[in-house]
Amino acid sequence: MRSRAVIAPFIVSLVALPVTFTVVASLYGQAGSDRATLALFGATVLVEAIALAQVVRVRRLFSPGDSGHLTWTLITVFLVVRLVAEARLATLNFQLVPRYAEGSSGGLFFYIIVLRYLYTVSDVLFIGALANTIRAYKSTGLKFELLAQDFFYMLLVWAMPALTYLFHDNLMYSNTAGTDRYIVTFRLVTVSVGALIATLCLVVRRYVLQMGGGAVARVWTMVVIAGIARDASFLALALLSGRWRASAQFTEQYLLWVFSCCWLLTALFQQEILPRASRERVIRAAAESKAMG
Amino acid sequence: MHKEIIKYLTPMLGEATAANLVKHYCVKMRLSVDDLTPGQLPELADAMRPMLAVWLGSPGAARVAEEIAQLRKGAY
Repeated sequence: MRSRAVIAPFIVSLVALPVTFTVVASLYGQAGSDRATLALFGATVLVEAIALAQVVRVRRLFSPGDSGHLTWTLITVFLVVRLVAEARLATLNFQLVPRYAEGSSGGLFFYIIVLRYLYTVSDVLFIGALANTIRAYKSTGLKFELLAQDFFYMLLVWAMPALTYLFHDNLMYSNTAGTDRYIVTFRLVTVSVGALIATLCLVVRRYVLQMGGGAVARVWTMVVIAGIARDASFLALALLSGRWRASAQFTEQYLLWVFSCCWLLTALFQQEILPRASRERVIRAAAESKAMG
Repeated sequence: MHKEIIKYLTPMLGEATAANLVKHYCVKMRLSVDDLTPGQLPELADAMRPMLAVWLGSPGAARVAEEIAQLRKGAY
């Protein structure tokens, strides 16, 4: 799979999805909006699965001793845990599991309330990957430094959890999976972890800008966009769901769509860094060394 | 010669990183950036491998170092 095959459909989707949602919502109302958001959820999970397959290929390009090996291992596990969490969410969204209500069984409590923290676990792995990348950049000894304005941007990023705390009543919206009083805590934890992700993304972004272009910079720019989109999805939910529940759910899913497509592009761009001739030789060498055991 | 190395590395690492990397290793190896000779390229390329591996992985870095060493032959 080449990045060129993904970029154009992705850009088209950025416009087509909101337009489609608006048309569906105006024609079919609340039920139509919910179905459109569910369909986008399904497409997002599919893209995440494809991204995972590509990330596994990227990981093979690094030897165990390379710092990049740890980074891509963390990204691989991050996407695996996230996909497990998405599979759980799918069973709730498609009503394959009964809704949680006060007094439900312990098993249902564990499945619905506790296992939602799989997203937090996956985010922590993402944080590990970003931290290791920053460490790798610094280890080169080249000039990669933060500027004064970066700290201002970080302050803005930390306004996201602050705003979410402020609007936390909006976080308890009723979705297709039902409502429970534990969801607010989960979302507040997630948006705070998301702010940490966005902060680290800002550091990576600065280093990327200091590279002066190039294919490596393109890879990490995609990761930065993915990280910001993930955090922004919760902010959108907190700000919009009070008045426009259907739009809030769609916007959240739309930003997660951006997140998943960016991960797919990240993995494809990383595989395309080397000049084509070199890339083919590296892939051949990796296959030969694997065949030799 | 250093301009050829920078030109080769720029599409991968970006212009600033490519230039800084070449400068960094020339200083480390006490070579003059402006007076690099083709004969010094294999040694310079080999020294660059660990840093290239940060972004490209060891196998990718080895290939790139090999190609930098071959720049003297005008192969790339």
